[in-house]
Amino acid sequence: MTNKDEFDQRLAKADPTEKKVAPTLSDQLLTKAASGDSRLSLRSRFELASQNLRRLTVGSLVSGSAAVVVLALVVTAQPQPLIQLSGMQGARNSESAAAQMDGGADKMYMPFFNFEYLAGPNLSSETGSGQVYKLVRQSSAEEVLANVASVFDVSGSINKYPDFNETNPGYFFGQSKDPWGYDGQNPVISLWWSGTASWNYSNPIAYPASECEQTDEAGNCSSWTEYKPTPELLPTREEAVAKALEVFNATGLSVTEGDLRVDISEWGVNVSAALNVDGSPTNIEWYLGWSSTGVISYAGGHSVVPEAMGTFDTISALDSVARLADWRWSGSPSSIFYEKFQPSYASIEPAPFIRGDDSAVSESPSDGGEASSDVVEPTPITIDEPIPGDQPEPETRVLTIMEAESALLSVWDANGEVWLVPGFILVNDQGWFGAVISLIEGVLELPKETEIDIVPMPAEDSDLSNK
Amino acid sequence: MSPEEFTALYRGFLPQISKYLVRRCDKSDVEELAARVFEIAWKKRTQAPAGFELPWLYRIAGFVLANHRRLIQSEQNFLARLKPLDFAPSPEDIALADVGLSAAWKKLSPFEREAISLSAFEGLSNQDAAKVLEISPNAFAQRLAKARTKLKDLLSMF
Repeated sequence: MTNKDEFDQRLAKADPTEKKVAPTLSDQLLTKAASGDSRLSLRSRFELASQNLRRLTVGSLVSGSAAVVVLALVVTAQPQPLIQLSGMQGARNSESAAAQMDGGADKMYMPFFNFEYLAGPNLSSETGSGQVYKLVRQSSAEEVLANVASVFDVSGSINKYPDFNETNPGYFFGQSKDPWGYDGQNPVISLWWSGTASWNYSNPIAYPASECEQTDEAGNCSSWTEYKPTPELLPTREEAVAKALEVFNATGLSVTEGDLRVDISEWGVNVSAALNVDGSPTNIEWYLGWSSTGVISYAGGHSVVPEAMGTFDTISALDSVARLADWRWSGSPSSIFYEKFQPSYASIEPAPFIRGDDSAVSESPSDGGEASSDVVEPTPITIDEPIPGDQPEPETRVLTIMEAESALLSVWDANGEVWLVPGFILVNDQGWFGAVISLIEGVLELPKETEIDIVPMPAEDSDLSNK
Repeated sequence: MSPEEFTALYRGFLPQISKYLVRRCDKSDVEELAARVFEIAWKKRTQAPAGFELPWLYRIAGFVLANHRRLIQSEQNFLARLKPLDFAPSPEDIALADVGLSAAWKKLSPFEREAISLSAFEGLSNQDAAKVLEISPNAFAQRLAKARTKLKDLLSMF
């Protein structure tokens, strides 16, 4: 096709909105955004507080800050390790995890950074020991739902989510007829009966409703009243703390006022507390929130108790630096460490934009970049071959670990159970940290390391998982 | 920027954001993703470049969309989370109107697809599109020219 107009016309006709009519978005989206108190906030908190364990299968391998991957299917040698780690966050068993590994998971696109980790001068070479805990679920799914329902005075019945199965045992409780429990009218309690048995309470009617203040000729609302903060409706700090203590203690977290983190704004109140084990905070957290109407709008917690499994030797902070380069030694720390060392983590941010493509777009014509004043002649394209000229070379960044702090890290095993193991928060000189397990070799059976081919971006950008 | 100013400024961009998203995701997800876009925009409102608010919103929408796609894909395959961001319309969306173009579209890189989309579908100038991608207008023009040429060549094969 050489005719420019024909080409552009064909493109214009291919606009997906020609076939999919874009919905008319309500002005409420804006006022909700400005209120900072929308259902999104609820979802975001839910995701941050709970789904880290439930849904996210991989932390950021590129950023080196998180966990995971692959799984162990190897037959263990004697002596048996205490924990057979799962390579998949939330994987319930080897079979399911293995299934998730199918489909060409032996390839990944070239990362844009290679990190080299250096130990700073202040890291200790002293070894030590630490207690390992298994988080044991308490009672049953039905009893947990009934208990939480009584705490929040929710009536209804127990339902299974449509995607319920043995490895994804999700329930909800309430009066909603919606298959996923959210009808926008009735409070709902969800529970995932695996791992830490995390539950969440959501009350959609706790949020203020906008009223129509102007309609158009067709009778549709064209302008909605704007949400206004109503701090006079919010509980006082003392009232919020008292209610949080009541809820948390009634749902299995024994805490006092000093354990609570309270966040009060004119738009709402949030109280949270971490499960502390032997004085160390964990990422197993409870939370309770009020919307601007002064009504409890969301809450969450777990139904587990830590069971001590023994004390094991640990390596030094100095030696643990080498584990940063191996994702299999990663664990999940308490959010307190993110607030302490990465304050921006707590805010809702989009993923950092990977500007790998731009590195090939140079403003200087002398270095072979594509941004010269001359139009680059098209290179014949061989399908599935890397696109010439567009592939960035990974940049090597050296990170010096300046500080180490002991922490209890949560890890998933291959059977879908969660453990707390000793580890280090290793803070680097660029303002973020990695969390690595400090147990000596042999206590854990690491996931089998998968050989991953680093491939450049293919010309055919089909989904890797479907190959 | 007060809530009133924010609302007034961006109310006019709702249709564009809606179209941008529906070109790139399931229609049922548009409202939710748009809400997220505006929530982030509100939080970052002090960083909105004067005169380029729409490209700036598109950029945020791109992030939101890419994260949304990754979240969906990562539930099927964890390595999906390691893939570069991709917020261009998918070949499946293009196929609704033109199967042949869809096949060629699939062979483009995400960056090439997005360059063409911003120009042909969003109707942005090179300067505005460059703002969305945070590259220079010259770089965008080169990328767009290259992508168009490649797409034309591919179309001749289908």
